[in-house]
Amino acid sequence: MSILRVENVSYSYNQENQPFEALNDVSFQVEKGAFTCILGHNGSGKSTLAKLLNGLYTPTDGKVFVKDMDTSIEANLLDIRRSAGMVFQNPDNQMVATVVEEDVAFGPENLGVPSPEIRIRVDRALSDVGMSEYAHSAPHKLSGGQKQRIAIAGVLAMHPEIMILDEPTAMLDPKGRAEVMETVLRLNKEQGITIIHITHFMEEAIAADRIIVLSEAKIALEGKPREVFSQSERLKELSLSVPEITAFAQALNKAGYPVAENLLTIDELTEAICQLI
Amino acid sequence: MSIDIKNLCYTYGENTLFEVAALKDITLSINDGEYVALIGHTGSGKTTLAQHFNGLLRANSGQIMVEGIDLSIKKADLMALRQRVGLVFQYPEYQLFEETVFKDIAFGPKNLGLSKEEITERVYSTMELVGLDKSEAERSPFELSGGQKRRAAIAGVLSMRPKVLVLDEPIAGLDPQGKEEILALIKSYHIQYNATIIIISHNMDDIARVADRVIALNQGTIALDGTPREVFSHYEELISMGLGLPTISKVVYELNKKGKNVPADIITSEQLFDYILRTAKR
Repeated sequence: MSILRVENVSYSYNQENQPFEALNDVSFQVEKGAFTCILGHNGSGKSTLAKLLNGLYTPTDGKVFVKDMDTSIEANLLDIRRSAGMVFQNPDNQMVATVVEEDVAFGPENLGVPSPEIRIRVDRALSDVGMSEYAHSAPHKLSGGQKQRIAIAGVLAMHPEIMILDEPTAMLDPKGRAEVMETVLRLNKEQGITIIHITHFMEEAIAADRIIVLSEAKIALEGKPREVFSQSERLKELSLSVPEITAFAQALNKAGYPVAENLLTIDELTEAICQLI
Repeated sequence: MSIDIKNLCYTYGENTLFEVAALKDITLSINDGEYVALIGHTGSGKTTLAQHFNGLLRANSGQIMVEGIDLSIKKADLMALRQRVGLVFQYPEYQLFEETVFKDIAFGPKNLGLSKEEITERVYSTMELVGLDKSEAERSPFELSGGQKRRAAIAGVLSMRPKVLVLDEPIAGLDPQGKEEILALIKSYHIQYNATIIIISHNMDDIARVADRVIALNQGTIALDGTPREVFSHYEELISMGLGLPTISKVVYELNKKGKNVPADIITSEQLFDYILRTAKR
Protein backbone atom coordinates (compact mmCIF):
# COMPACT_ATOMS: atom_id res chain seq x y z
CA MET A 1 0.00 0.00 0.00
CA SER A 2 1.33 3.41 -0.92
CA ILE A 3 1.36 5.80 2.00
CA LEU A 4 2.66 8.69 -0.11
CA ARG A 5 1.81 9.44 -3.72
CA VAL A 6 3.43 12.19 -5.74
CA GLU A 7 1.63 12.58 -9.06
CA ASN A 8 3.04 14.75 -11.86
CA VAL A 9 4.13 17.41 -9.40
CA SER A 10 5.69 20.68 -10.53
CA TYR A 11 6.59 23.56 -8.28
CA SER A 12 7.75 27.07 -9.22
CA TYR A 13 9.11 29.82 -7.03
CA ASN A 14 8.46 33.38 -8.02
CA GLN A 15 11.80 35.16 -8.21
CA GLU A 16 11.47 38.82 -9.11
CA ASN A 17 8.48 37.96 -11.29
CA GLN A 18 10.51 35.28 -13.04
CA PRO A 19 9.18 31.86 -12.18
CA PHE A 20 11.92 29.42 -11.21
CA GLU A 21 10.94 25.81 -11.66
CA ALA A 22 12.26 23.80 -8.70
CA LEU A 23 10.38 20.60 -9.62
CA ASN A 24 9.12 19.57 -13.01
CA ASP A 25 6.61 16.74 -13.45
CA VAL A 26 7.88 14.48 -10.68
CA SER A 27 5.99 11.27 -9.86
CA PHE A 28 6.69 8.46 -7.41
CA GLN A 29 5.05 6.45 -4.67
CA VAL A 30 6.33 5.38 -1.27
CA GLU A 31 5.23 2.14 0.38
CA LYS A 32 4.27 2.06 4.02
CA GLY A 33 7.29 1.26 6.23
CA ALA A 34 9.86 1.91 3.49
CA PHE A 35 13.12 3.78 4.00
CA THR A 36 13.61 6.09 1.03
CA CYS A 37 16.67 8.24 0.53
CA ILE A 38 16.58 11.31 -1.69
CA LEU A 39 19.91 12.44 -3.16
CA GLY A 40 20.67 15.31 -5.49
CA HIS A 41 23.08 18.19 -6.01
CA ASN A 42 22.58 21.58 -4.29
CA GLY A 43 19.59 23.21 -5.93
CA SER A 44 18.21 19.99 -7.43
CA GLY A 45 14.84 20.41 -5.72
CA LYS A 46 15.27 18.07 -2.72
CA SER A 47 14.17 20.50 -0.02
CA THR A 48 11.28 21.74 -2.14
CA LEU A 49 10.13 18.15 -2.49
CA ALA A 50 10.37 17.63 1.28
CA LYS A 51 8.16 20.63 1.92
CA LEU A 52 5.61 19.38 -0.60
CA LEU A 53 5.37 16.03 1.15
CA ASN A 54 3.66 17.35 4.26
CA GLY A 55 1.76 20.24 2.78
CA LEU A 56 4.12 23.07 3.76
CA TYR A 57 4.03 23.83 0.02
CA THR A 58 1.26 22.87 -2.36
CA PRO A 59 2.15 21.88 -5.92
CA THR A 60 1.90 24.45 -8.72
CA ASP A 61 0.79 21.50 -10.83
CA GLY A 62 -0.05 17.91 -9.96
CA LYS A 63 -1.06 16.36 -6.65
CA VAL A 64 0.53 15.01 -3.50
CA PHE A 65 -1.41 12.50 -1.42
CA VAL A 66 -0.48 11.60 2.14
CA LYS A 67 -2.48 8.53 3.17
CA ASP A 68 -4.86 9.35 0.32
CA MET A 69 -5.35 12.90 1.63
CA ASP A 70 -4.80 15.62 -0.98
CA THR A 71 -2.32 18.22 0.37
CA SER A 72 -3.92 20.99 -1.69
CA ILE A 73 -7.12 20.78 0.36
CA GLU A 74 -6.76 23.06 3.36
CA ALA A 75 -9.10 20.98 5.54
CA ASN A 76 -6.70 18.00 5.28
CA LEU A 77 -3.62 19.85 6.50
CA LEU A 78 -3.91 19.18 10.22
CA ASP A 79 -4.30 15.45 9.62
CA ILE A 80 -1.51 15.45 7.06
CA ARG A 81 0.97 17.15 9.40
CA ARG A 82 -0.04 14.82 12.20
CA SER A 83 0.76 11.88 9.88
CA ALA A 84 3.94 13.26 8.33
CA GLY A 85 6.40 14.96 10.69
CA MET A 86 9.45 16.89 9.57
CA VAL A 87 12.98 17.30 10.89
CA PHE A 88 15.16 20.06 9.44
CA GLN A 89 18.87 20.65 8.99
CA ASN A 90 19.69 23.15 11.71
CA PRO A 91 18.95 21.78 15.19
CA ASP A 92 19.11 25.26 16.73
CA ASN A 93 16.21 26.53 14.65
CA GLN A 94 13.89 23.78 15.80
CA MET A 95 13.95 24.23 19.56
CA VAL A 96 10.99 26.12 20.97
CA ALA A 97 11.22 25.52 24.72
CA THR A 98 13.86 25.96 27.41
CA VAL A 99 13.50 22.44 28.82
CA VAL A 100 13.87 19.30 26.70
CA GLU A 101 10.62 17.62 27.77
CA GLU A 102 8.62 20.79 27.16
CA ASP A 103 10.09 20.99 23.70
CA VAL A 104 9.01 17.43 22.95
CA ALA A 105 5.53 18.17 24.39
CA PHE A 106 5.02 21.16 22.08
CA GLY A 107 3.67 19.12 19.16
CA PRO A 108 1.12 16.96 21.00
CA GLU A 109 -0.02 20.01 23.01
CA ASN A 110 -0.88 21.75 19.78
CA LEU A 111 -2.77 18.69 18.61
CA GLY A 112 -4.95 18.97 21.73
CA VAL A 113 -3.76 15.69 23.25
CA PRO A 114 -4.93 15.41 26.91
CA SER A 115 -2.22 16.11 29.53
CA PRO A 116 -1.84 12.61 31.01
CA GLU A 117 -1.47 11.22 27.51
CA ILE A 118 1.14 13.89 26.67
CA ARG A 119 3.20 12.77 29.66
CA ILE A 120 3.16 9.19 28.36
CA ARG A 121 3.99 10.22 24.80
CA VAL A 122 6.89 12.48 25.82
CA ASP A 123 8.47 9.84 28.04
CA ARG A 124 8.11 7.24 25.34
CA ALA A 125 9.51 9.51 22.60
CA LEU A 126 12.54 10.48 24.71
CA SER A 127 13.20 6.84 25.48
CA ASP A 128 12.86 5.92 21.79
CA VAL A 129 15.64 8.35 20.85
CA GLY A 130 17.78 7.43 23.86
CA MET A 131 17.48 10.82 25.55
CA SER A 132 15.39 10.04 28.67
CA GLU A 133 18.10 11.17 31.05
CA TYR A 134 18.09 14.64 29.46
CA ALA A 135 14.34 15.28 29.97
CA HIS A 136 15.00 18.16 32.34
CA SER A 137 18.07 19.59 30.58
CA ALA A 138 18.26 22.85 28.67
CA PRO A 139 18.36 22.18 24.90
CA HIS A 140 21.16 24.70 24.29
CA LYS A 141 23.50 22.64 26.46
CA LEU A 142 23.15 19.56 24.29
CA SER A 143 25.41 18.52 21.42
CA GLY A 144 24.20 18.82 17.83
CA GLY A 145 23.42 15.11 17.58
CA GLN A 146 21.49 15.23 20.86
CA LYS A 147 19.52 18.27 19.69
CA GLN A 148 18.56 16.50 16.48
CA ARG A 149 17.42 13.48 18.49
CA ILE A 150 15.22 15.82 20.55
CA ALA A 151 13.80 17.24 17.32
CA ILE A 152 13.03 13.66 16.24
CA ALA A 153 11.41 12.97 19.63
CA GLY A 154 9.26 16.06 19.14
CA VAL A 155 7.98 14.58 15.89
CA LEU A 156 7.56 11.10 17.41
CA ALA A 157 5.37 12.47 20.20
CA MET A 158 2.81 13.34 17.54
CA HIS A 159 2.66 9.64 16.58
CA PRO A 160 3.43 10.14 12.90
CA GLU A 161 3.41 7.34 10.37
CA ILE A 162 5.86 9.16 8.14
CA MET A 163 8.99 11.06 9.06
CA ILE A 164 10.65 13.41 6.57
CA LEU A 165 14.22 14.39 7.41
CA ASP A 166 15.78 17.20 5.38
CA GLU A 167 19.57 16.90 5.72
CA PRO A 168 19.36 16.25 9.46
CA THR A 169 23.07 15.38 9.71
CA ALA A 170 24.61 18.17 7.60
CA MET A 171 25.73 20.23 10.57
CA LEU A 172 26.80 17.41 12.87
CA ASP A 173 30.16 15.85 13.74
CA PRO A 174 30.74 12.15 12.91
CA LYS A 175 29.49 11.00 16.32
CA GLY A 176 26.35 13.12 16.07
CA ARG A 177 25.74 11.83 12.56
CA ALA A 178 26.03 8.23 13.69
CA GLU A 179 23.63 8.86 16.60
CA VAL A 180 20.99 10.35 14.35
CA MET A 181 21.29 7.68 11.63
CA GLU A 182 21.14 4.88 14.18
CA THR A 183 17.99 6.43 15.72
CA VAL A 184 16.27 6.87 12.37
CA LEU A 185 17.07 3.32 11.24
CA ARG A 186 15.81 1.90 14.51
CA LEU A 187 12.51 3.81 14.30
CA ASN A 188 12.07 2.46 10.80
CA LYS A 189 12.83 -1.16 11.70
CA GLU A 190 11.18 -1.38 15.12
CA GLN A 191 8.18 0.90 14.75
CA GLY A 192 7.67 0.66 11.01
CA ILE A 193 7.74 4.44 10.55
CA THR A 194 8.03 5.36 6.89
CA ILE A 195 11.21 7.38 6.41
CA ILE A 196 12.09 9.93 3.74
CA HIS A 197 15.70 10.91 4.29
CA ILE A 198 17.35 13.70 2.31
CA THR A 199 21.13 13.82 2.43
CA HIS A 200 24.42 14.74 0.76
CA PHE A 201 26.26 11.88 2.44
CA MET A 202 26.23 8.96 0.04
CA GLU A 203 27.10 6.59 2.90
CA GLU A 204 23.80 7.38 4.61
CA ALA A 205 21.90 6.09 1.60
CA ILE A 206 23.41 2.60 1.81
CA ALA A 207 20.84 1.35 4.32
CA ALA A 208 17.86 2.67 2.35
CA ASP A 209 15.32 0.40 0.63
CA ARG A 210 15.27 2.76 -2.30
CA ILE A 211 17.16 5.81 -3.54
CA ILE A 212 15.64 8.58 -5.62
CA VAL A 213 18.14 10.93 -7.28
CA LEU A 214 16.92 14.37 -8.26
CA SER A 215 18.64 16.56 -10.80
CA GLU A 216 17.48 19.71 -12.57
CA ALA A 217 14.01 19.47 -11.04
CA LYS A 218 13.42 15.88 -12.26
CA ILE A 219 14.00 12.32 -11.09
CA ALA A 220 17.27 11.34 -12.77
CA LEU A 221 17.86 7.92 -11.27
CA GLU A 222 16.00 5.55 -9.02
CA GLY A 223 16.50 2.12 -7.52
CA LYS A 224 18.00 0.04 -4.73
CA PRO A 225 21.34 1.33 -3.33
CA ARG A 226 23.28 -1.43 -5.08
CA GLU A 227 21.72 -0.55 -8.43
CA VAL A 228 22.12 3.21 -8.07
CA PHE A 229 25.69 3.13 -6.76
CA SER A 230 26.87 0.77 -9.47
CA GLN A 231 26.37 3.69 -11.90
CA SER A 232 29.31 5.78 -10.82
CA GLU A 233 29.73 7.61 -14.14
CA ARG A 234 26.08 8.65 -14.21
CA LEU A 235 26.24 9.83 -10.59
CA LYS A 236 29.30 11.92 -11.38
CA GLU A 237 27.38 13.61 -14.19
CA LEU A 238 24.73 14.43 -11.60
CA SER A 239 27.35 16.12 -9.35
CA LEU A 240 27.18 13.20 -6.92
CA SER A 241 29.58 10.40 -6.10
CA VAL A 242 29.52 6.81 -4.92
CA PRO A 243 30.41 5.83 -1.35
CA GLU A 244 34.19 5.51 -0.76
CA ILE A 245 33.80 1.74 -0.32
CA THR A 246 31.99 1.28 -3.63
CA ALA A 247 34.51 3.48 -5.46
CA PHE A 248 37.33 1.35 -4.12
CA ALA A 249 35.63 -1.91 -5.08
CA GLN A 250 35.11 -0.53 -8.58
CA ALA A 251 38.79 0.43 -8.85
CA LEU A 252 39.84 -3.09 -7.86
CA ASN A 253 37.37 -4.58 -10.30
CA LYS A 254 38.69 -2.39 -13.10
CA ALA A 255 42.23 -3.49 -12.33
CA GLY A 256 41.16 -7.06 -12.97
CA TYR A 257 40.68 -8.36 -9.42
CA PRO A 258 37.68 -10.61 -8.74
CA VAL A 259 35.80 -8.01 -6.67
CA ALA A 260 32.15 -7.13 -7.29
CA GLU A 261 31.52 -3.54 -8.39
CA ASN A 262 28.53 -3.01 -6.15
CA LEU A 263 29.96 -3.50 -2.67
CA LEU A 264 28.50 -1.07 -0.15
CA THR A 265 29.73 -1.82 3.35
CA ILE A 266 33.07 -1.99 5.13
CA ASP A 267 32.41 -5.65 5.96
CA GLU A 268 31.80 -6.57 2.35
CA LEU A 269 34.96 -4.83 1.17
CA THR A 270 37.03 -6.33 4.01
CA GLU A 271 35.77 -9.78 3.08
CA ALA A 272 36.67 -9.23 -0.59
CA ILE A 273 40.17 -7.95 0.17
CA CYS A 274 40.79 -10.88 2.52
CA GLN A 275 40.46 -13.15 -0.51
CA LEU A 276 43.11 -11.15 -2.36
CA ILE A 277 45.94 -10.75 0.15
CA MET B 1 57.09 30.71 11.38
CA SER B 2 53.47 31.48 10.62
CA ILE B 3 51.92 30.82 14.02
CA ASP B 4 53.66 30.26 17.32
CA ILE B 5 51.63 29.56 20.43
CA LYS B 6 52.98 28.88 23.92
CA ASN B 7 50.85 27.76 26.89
CA LEU B 8 47.70 29.41 25.60
CA CYS B 9 44.64 29.22 27.86
CA TYR B 10 41.18 30.48 27.13
CA THR B 11 38.14 30.34 29.39
CA TYR B 12 34.65 31.40 28.41
CA GLY B 13 32.87 33.50 31.07
CA GLU B 14 35.95 33.76 33.29
CA ASN B 15 35.13 34.54 36.92
CA THR B 16 31.42 33.87 36.41
CA LEU B 17 29.20 30.94 37.32
CA PHE B 18 29.31 29.81 33.70
CA GLU B 19 33.09 29.51 33.48
CA VAL B 20 34.17 26.91 30.92
CA ALA B 21 37.83 26.24 30.15
CA ALA B 22 37.80 25.86 26.35
CA LEU B 23 41.55 25.74 25.72
CA LYS B 24 44.05 24.47 28.27
CA ASP B 25 47.75 25.10 27.91
CA ILE B 26 48.03 24.84 24.14
CA THR B 27 51.57 24.93 22.70
CA LEU B 28 51.80 24.76 18.94
CA SER B 29 53.88 25.99 15.98
CA ILE B 30 52.68 26.14 12.41
CA ASN B 31 55.19 26.80 9.63
CA ASP B 32 54.74 29.08 6.63
CA GLY B 33 52.90 27.30 3.86
CA GLU B 34 51.74 24.31 5.92
CA TYR B 35 48.33 22.77 5.21
CA VAL B 36 46.92 21.85 8.61
CA ALA B 37 43.65 20.15 9.49
CA LEU B 38 42.14 20.71 12.95
CA ILE B 39 39.90 17.87 14.05
CA GLY B 40 37.94 17.27 17.24
CA HIS B 41 34.35 16.56 18.27
CA THR B 42 31.85 19.33 18.90
CA GLY B 43 33.04 21.33 21.91
CA SER B 44 36.66 20.17 21.73
CA GLY B 45 37.93 23.73 21.22
CA LYS B 46 38.63 23.78 17.45
CA THR B 47 36.62 26.88 16.64
CA THR B 48 37.80 28.64 19.80
CA LEU B 49 41.40 28.03 18.77
CA ALA B 50 40.75 29.18 15.19
CA GLN B 51 39.27 32.43 16.48
CA HIS B 52 42.55 33.18 18.26
CA PHE B 53 44.46 33.13 14.97
CA ASN B 54 42.96 36.43 13.84
CA GLY B 55 42.44 37.98 17.25
CA LEU B 56 38.66 37.51 17.44
CA LEU B 57 39.29 35.91 20.79
CA ARG B 58 42.20 36.93 23.02
CA ALA B 59 43.95 34.42 25.25
CA ASN B 60 43.55 34.65 29.03
CA SER B 61 47.17 33.63 29.38
CA GLY B 62 50.11 32.41 27.31
CA GLN B 63 51.83 33.75 24.23
CA ILE B 64 50.59 33.86 20.69
CA MET B 65 52.48 35.19 17.66
CA VAL B 66 50.74 35.21 14.29
CA GLU B 67 52.54 36.36 11.13
CA GLY B 68 54.98 38.37 13.22
CA ILE B 69 52.32 40.10 15.30
CA ASP B 70 52.47 39.52 19.04
CA LEU B 71 48.90 39.01 20.21
CA SER B 72 49.95 38.70 23.84
CA ILE B 73 50.19 42.49 23.84
CA LYS B 74 46.84 44.14 24.51
CA LYS B 75 47.38 46.85 21.91
CA ALA B 76 48.39 44.44 19.13
CA ASP B 77 47.71 45.80 15.64
CA LEU B 78 44.55 43.83 14.86
CA MET B 79 44.00 45.72 11.63
CA ALA B 80 47.35 44.50 10.26
CA LEU B 81 46.67 41.02 11.63
CA ARG B 82 43.36 40.69 9.84
CA GLN B 83 44.94 41.63 6.54
CA ARG B 84 47.30 38.73 6.97
CA VAL B 85 44.87 36.20 8.40
CA GLY B 86 41.60 35.50 6.60
CA LEU B 87 38.89 33.64 8.48
CA VAL B 88 36.13 31.84 6.59
CA PHE B 89 33.31 31.03 8.98
CA GLN B 90 30.87 28.11 8.77
CA TYR B 91 28.23 28.65 6.10
CA PRO B 92 29.99 31.85 4.89
CA GLU B 93 27.32 32.42 2.23
CA TYR B 94 25.05 33.73 5.00
CA GLN B 95 27.41 36.69 5.20
CA LEU B 96 27.08 37.80 1.58
CA PHE B 97 25.50 41.23 1.74
CA GLU B 98 26.28 43.42 -1.27
CA GLU B 99 24.13 44.10 -4.32
CA THR B 100 26.51 42.41 -6.73
CA VAL B 101 29.11 39.67 -6.59
CA PHE B 102 31.73 42.24 -7.67
CA LYS B 103 30.92 44.62 -4.80
CA ASP B 104 30.89 41.79 -2.28
CA ILE B 105 34.36 40.58 -3.27
CA ALA B 106 35.64 44.18 -3.54
CA PHE B 107 34.59 45.04 0.02
CA GLY B 108 37.82 43.88 1.66
CA PRO B 109 40.32 45.35 -0.86
CA LYS B 110 38.38 48.64 -0.77
CA ASN B 111 38.95 48.85 2.97
CA LEU B 112 42.64 48.24 2.37
CA GLY B 113 42.71 51.55 0.48
CA LEU B 114 43.69 50.04 -2.90
CA SER B 115 43.19 52.04 -6.11
CA LYS B 116 40.17 51.41 -8.30
CA GLU B 117 42.24 49.58 -10.93
CA GLU B 118 43.90 47.42 -8.32
CA ILE B 119 40.53 46.55 -6.81
CA THR B 120 39.10 45.57 -10.19
CA GLU B 121 42.15 43.44 -10.91
CA ARG B 122 41.87 41.74 -7.50
CA VAL B 123 38.19 41.00 -7.87
CA TYR B 124 38.52 39.43 -11.31
CA SER B 125 41.63 37.44 -10.50
CA THR B 126 39.97 36.14 -7.34
CA MET B 127 36.83 35.20 -9.23
CA GLU B 128 38.98 33.23 -11.63
CA LEU B 129 40.75 31.54 -8.75
CA VAL B 130 37.49 30.33 -7.19
CA GLY B 131 36.01 29.35 -10.55
CA LEU B 132 33.35 32.04 -10.91
CA ASP B 133 32.85 33.26 -14.46
CA LYS B 134 33.42 36.98 -15.12
CA SER B 135 29.83 37.22 -16.31
CA GLU B 136 28.62 36.56 -12.75
CA ALA B 137 30.23 39.77 -11.47
CA GLU B 138 27.18 41.99 -11.90
CA ARG B 139 24.66 39.43 -10.63
CA SER B 140 23.22 39.58 -7.15
CA PRO B 141 25.06 37.06 -4.95
CA PHE B 142 21.65 35.83 -3.79
CA GLU B 143 20.82 34.57 -7.28
CA LEU B 144 23.79 32.20 -7.35
CA SER B 145 23.51 28.46 -6.73
CA GLY B 146 24.49 27.02 -3.34
CA GLY B 147 28.01 26.05 -4.42
CA GLN B 148 28.57 29.35 -6.24
CA LYS B 149 27.45 31.35 -3.21
CA ARG B 150 29.96 29.50 -1.06
CA ARG B 151 32.72 30.26 -3.59
CA ALA B 152 31.75 33.94 -3.81
CA ALA B 153 31.87 34.22 -0.02
CA ILE B 154 35.31 32.61 0.13
CA ALA B 155 36.45 34.92 -2.69
CA GLY B 156 35.57 37.87 -0.43
CA VAL B 157 38.22 36.63 2.01
CA LEU B 158 40.79 35.60 -0.63
CA SER B 159 40.64 39.02 -2.27
CA MET B 160 42.53 40.30 0.79
CA ARG B 161 45.34 37.86 -0.18
CA PRO B 162 45.80 36.59 3.39
CA LYS B 163 49.04 34.79 4.22
CA VAL B 164 47.06 32.53 6.53
CA LEU B 165 43.68 31.18 5.51
CA VAL B 166 41.55 29.68 8.28
CA LEU B 167 38.41 27.82 7.18
CA ASP B 168 35.80 26.49 9.60
CA GLU B 169 33.90 23.58 7.99
CA PRO B 170 34.18 24.98 4.46
CA ILE B 171 32.57 21.94 2.81
CA ALA B 172 29.64 21.34 5.19
CA GLY B 173 26.28 21.07 3.46
CA LEU B 174 27.62 20.83 -0.10
CA ASP B 175 27.00 18.07 -2.64
CA PRO B 176 30.01 15.91 -3.59
CA GLN B 177 30.91 18.02 -6.61
CA GLY B 178 30.56 21.31 -4.71
CA LYS B 179 32.82 19.85 -2.06
CA GLU B 180 35.51 18.93 -4.60
CA GLU B 181 35.37 22.43 -6.09
CA ILE B 182 35.94 24.08 -2.72
CA LEU B 183 38.82 21.74 -1.85
CA ALA B 184 40.40 22.42 -5.25
CA LEU B 185 40.22 26.20 -4.84
CA ILE B 186 41.76 25.99 -1.37
CA LYS B 187 44.57 23.90 -2.85
CA SER B 188 45.24 26.38 -5.66
CA TYR B 189 45.29 29.34 -3.27
CA HIS B 190 47.66 27.34 -1.05
CA ILE B 191 50.03 26.73 -3.97
CA GLN B 192 49.78 30.07 -5.80
CA TYR B 193 50.34 32.23 -2.72
CA ASN B 194 52.31 29.75 -0.59
CA ALA B 195 49.62 30.45 2.00
CA THR B 196 49.31 28.67 5.32
CA ILE B 197 46.01 26.77 5.37
CA ILE B 198 44.19 25.79 8.55
CA ILE B 199 41.04 23.83 7.86
CA ILE B 200 38.49 22.60 10.39
CA SER B 201 36.54 19.63 9.10
CA HIS B 202 34.76 16.48 10.18
CA ASN B 203 35.32 14.87 6.83
CA MET B 204 38.20 12.51 7.54
CA ASP B 205 38.31 11.01 4.03
CA ASP B 206 39.08 14.45 2.61
CA ILE B 207 41.53 15.39 5.35
CA ALA B 208 43.45 12.18 4.70
CA ARG B 209 43.88 13.27 1.07
CA VAL B 210 44.59 16.99 1.36
CA ALA B 211 46.34 17.90 4.61
CA ASP B 212 50.09 17.82 5.37
CA ARG B 213 49.41 17.72 9.07
CA VAL B 214 46.52 16.83 11.39
CA ILE B 215 46.03 18.23 14.89
CA ALA B 216 43.39 16.49 17.02
CA LEU B 217 41.93 18.51 19.88
CA ASN B 218 40.21 16.82 22.78
CA GLN B 219 38.69 18.65 25.74
CA GLY B 220 40.71 21.78 25.09
CA THR B 221 44.10 20.13 24.72
CA ILE B 222 46.13 18.78 21.80
CA ALA B 223 45.69 15.01 21.84
CA LEU B 224 47.48 14.09 18.61
CA ASP B 225 49.67 16.04 16.18
CA GLY B 226 51.40 14.65 13.10
CA THR B 227 51.05 13.71 9.46
CA PRO B 228 47.63 12.29 8.50
CA ARG B 229 49.21 8.83 8.31
CA GLU B 230 50.61 9.13 11.84
CA VAL B 231 47.47 10.58 13.41
CA PHE B 232 44.96 8.25 11.77
CA SER B 233 47.04 5.22 12.82
CA HIS B 234 45.80 5.92 16.36
CA TYR B 235 42.53 4.18 15.60
CA GLU B 236 41.24 3.34 19.04
CA GLU B 237 42.40 6.62 20.56
CA LEU B 238 40.47 8.62 17.97
CA ILE B 239 37.34 6.50 18.46
CA SER B 240 37.52 7.08 22.21
CA MET B 241 37.64 10.83 21.54
CA GLY B 242 34.37 10.52 19.64
CA LEU B 243 36.05 11.17 16.30
CA GLY B 244 35.55 9.57 12.94
CA LEU B 245 38.24 7.95 10.83
CA PRO B 246 38.88 7.77 7.11
CA THR B 247 36.82 4.97 5.55
CA ILE B 248 39.99 3.23 4.39
CA SER B 249 41.42 3.26 7.94
CA LYS B 250 38.29 1.41 9.03
CA VAL B 251 38.79 -1.19 6.32
CA VAL B 252 42.45 -1.64 7.34
CA TYR B 253 41.40 -2.02 10.97
CA GLU B 254 38.88 -4.73 10.05
CA LEU B 255 41.43 -6.51 7.86
CA ASN B 256 43.89 -6.63 10.74
CA LYS B 257 41.16 -7.91 13.07
CA LYS B 258 40.81 -10.81 10.67
CA GLY B 259 44.48 -11.60 11.10
CA LYS B 260 45.93 -9.74 8.11
CA ASN B 261 48.98 -7.61 8.64
CA VAL B 262 48.22 -4.36 6.84
CA PRO B 263 50.18 -1.27 7.97
CA ALA B 264 47.90 0.92 10.11
CA ASP B 265 49.15 4.07 8.38
CA ILE B 266 47.32 3.20 5.17
CA ILE B 267 44.54 5.80 5.17
CA THR B 268 43.58 6.60 1.56
CA SER B 269 42.23 4.58 -1.36
CA GLU B 270 45.43 5.14 -3.34
CA GLN B 271 47.60 3.81 -0.54
CA LEU B 272 45.44 0.72 -0.02
CA PHE B 273 45.28 0.13 -3.74
CA ASP B 274 49.09 0.22 -3.98
CA TYR B 275 49.35 -2.15 -1.06
CA ILE B 276 46.99 -4.67 -2.65
CA LEU B 277 48.84 -4.34 -5.95
CA ARG B 278 52.10 -5.24 -4.22
CA THR B 279 50.83 -8.04 -1.98
CA ALA B 280 47.93 -9.69 -3.82
CA LYS B 281 48.36 -13.36 -4.67
CA ARG B 282 47.91 -13.48 -8.38
